[in-house]
Amino acid sequence: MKTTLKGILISDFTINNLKGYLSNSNSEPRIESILAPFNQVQQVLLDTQLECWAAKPDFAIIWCLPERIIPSFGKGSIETVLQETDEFIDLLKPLHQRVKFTLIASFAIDPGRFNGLTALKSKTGIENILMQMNLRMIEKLNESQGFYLLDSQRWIASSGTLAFQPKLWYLSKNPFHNSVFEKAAEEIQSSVRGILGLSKKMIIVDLDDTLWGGILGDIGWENLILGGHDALGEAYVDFQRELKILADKGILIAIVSKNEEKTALAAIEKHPEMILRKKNIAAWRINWEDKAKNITELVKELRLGLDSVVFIDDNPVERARVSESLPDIFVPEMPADKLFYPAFLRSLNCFNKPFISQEDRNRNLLYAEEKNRTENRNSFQSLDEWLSGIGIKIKAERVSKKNSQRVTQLLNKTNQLNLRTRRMTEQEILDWDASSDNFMWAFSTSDRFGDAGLTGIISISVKGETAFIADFILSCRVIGRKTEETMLGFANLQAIKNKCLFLKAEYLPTDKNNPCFLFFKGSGMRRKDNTFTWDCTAEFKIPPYIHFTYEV
Amino acid sequence: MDQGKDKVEKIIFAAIDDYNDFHPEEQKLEKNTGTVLFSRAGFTKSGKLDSIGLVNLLVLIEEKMKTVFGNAFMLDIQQLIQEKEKYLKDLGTLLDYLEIMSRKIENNT
Repeated sequence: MKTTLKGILISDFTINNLKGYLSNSNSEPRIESILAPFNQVQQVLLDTQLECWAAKPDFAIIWCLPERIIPSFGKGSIETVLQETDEFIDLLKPLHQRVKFTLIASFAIDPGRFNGLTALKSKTGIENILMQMNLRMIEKLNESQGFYLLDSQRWIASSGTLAFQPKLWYLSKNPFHNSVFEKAAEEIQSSVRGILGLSKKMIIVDLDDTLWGGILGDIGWENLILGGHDALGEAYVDFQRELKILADKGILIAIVSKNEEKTALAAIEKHPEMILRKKNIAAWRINWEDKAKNITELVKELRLGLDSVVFIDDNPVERARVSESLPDIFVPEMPADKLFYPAFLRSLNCFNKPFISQEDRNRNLLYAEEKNRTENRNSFQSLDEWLSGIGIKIKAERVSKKNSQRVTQLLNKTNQLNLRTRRMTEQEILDWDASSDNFMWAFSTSDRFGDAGLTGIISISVKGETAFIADFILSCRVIGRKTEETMLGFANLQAIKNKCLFLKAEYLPTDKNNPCFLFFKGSGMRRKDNTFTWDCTAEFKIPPYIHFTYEV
Repeated sequence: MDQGKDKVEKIIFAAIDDYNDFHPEEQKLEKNTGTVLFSRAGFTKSGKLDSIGLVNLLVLIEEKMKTVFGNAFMLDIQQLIQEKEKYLKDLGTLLDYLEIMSRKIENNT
């Protein structure tokens, strides 16, 4: 079943059409829009008793016209305009008490308006002032949690000179052509998905005529169309560059191609103009098998869900095959003209995320390390023997402003080893942890193969003589390295410290978190239905070969 | 139906497709010349368009008419809404009005 979120639309113009586009979208999550009263932005922001708040929206969308919400815009001095902008921002700030997050459309003006040489003139040019207003919003709202600015100029620019529709404005106080609302709805959907951790996590690409031009097996890597003084060659390099940008944002890059593996890997490593090298690629299946079968295996190997994958292939037959046999995978249509490949990749909005952590930047490398780890593991007789030799270090630290961004990201996107699948904003996490009976810790793992970074979360809520596990979350990248046991052992010590007799975990099943159930079932805890209990008087042993530290 | 009317009907129906894209199921318009556009006291058939809906639909129709009949085609939407009993009772009356307008444009070119 699709998740539904309620969003309140607050605007000083008729925004009904945006509501329609959001409601009719088929993408996950469903957005049910609530229209705040027309042109009563200040009243809606100040009066929590208004009927529009009764439905308890999950998030807010604020979209105002600068000339309406900032009275001196276009008339007054820059100082007055910025002072009024500050007042508007002050009105927005308390929103975090009513909604989980707020999306704000940046201020924009009609691109058809000709401002000529004065447009950007310091302090007086209308576009200069507009930029400063937007910058002021960015800077001031950056200090508060849960506010995200969306670039409305992009929606407007994509509609060209038709963006502002005078007939709609004068007859219904709606300034925008529908194409602007369509673009806005797409970006809002994408942003909500990103904030909820539902964005795509991996892009699988084909090789021949996708990553480079030509058929490798026929012409050899020396003759591939890639780079050089050639329009198509440059486009392929740019396409790879765009993939590298995604990789640096934490999107896994994988290859599924019908080729000889040895030849293809040699091309990747040897071609002087390749942007993507083996170290940038998390996994690959290069063989002559069916691509749908290869993708299924590869996704399983990386412990991802099919719904977190995008498949890119120039061949429409392969795209149709994958799309029909694996409907959860997103298979976008490719432009017929290959010179448009880089622009096509740039336009995909399915990788949206609110911030990029250090772990994101290294994600492909982390998977490559995991590949080495698995190969090494296979040469040992027992798991314990292997684990004791790889120098596992686990560090626990209390959740704080220092790590809350990464904790929020992990909490909201982890599906498999997740006990209760609670989803919370950064502020909600910090507020929850601030309660005297609640405790949340983040776990980081490293070993001699590499540093996996912050990959685990455990939280307990103390009620009388019982410590309830509110969250038990572990990234699939470190499953099976005894981090799970270490987290439980640590939680037990904390329960004892809080004078508890029992540590309880209630498993809430979802479509995806069976691995968590299986872990608890084999953990040694006493089980009754979906509830697992540990008597705190007994020690929950942390494996002796794990070097565990707790940073106070 | 004559060719001119048929052409205008196709334009209206294409505009309705666009209109339905941003309206919930209960407000979607049927592509049928008998479709009542707005509700009137004393009439049993109720329409789905409020004043904003009427403006949206007419602007969509005008855009599409322009692409077929050229930029000289123009709707006085304010006037049409003021005389909605006459021109906007249902899709059929709107079709008749637009067909006359389009014929005038074609005769002038």
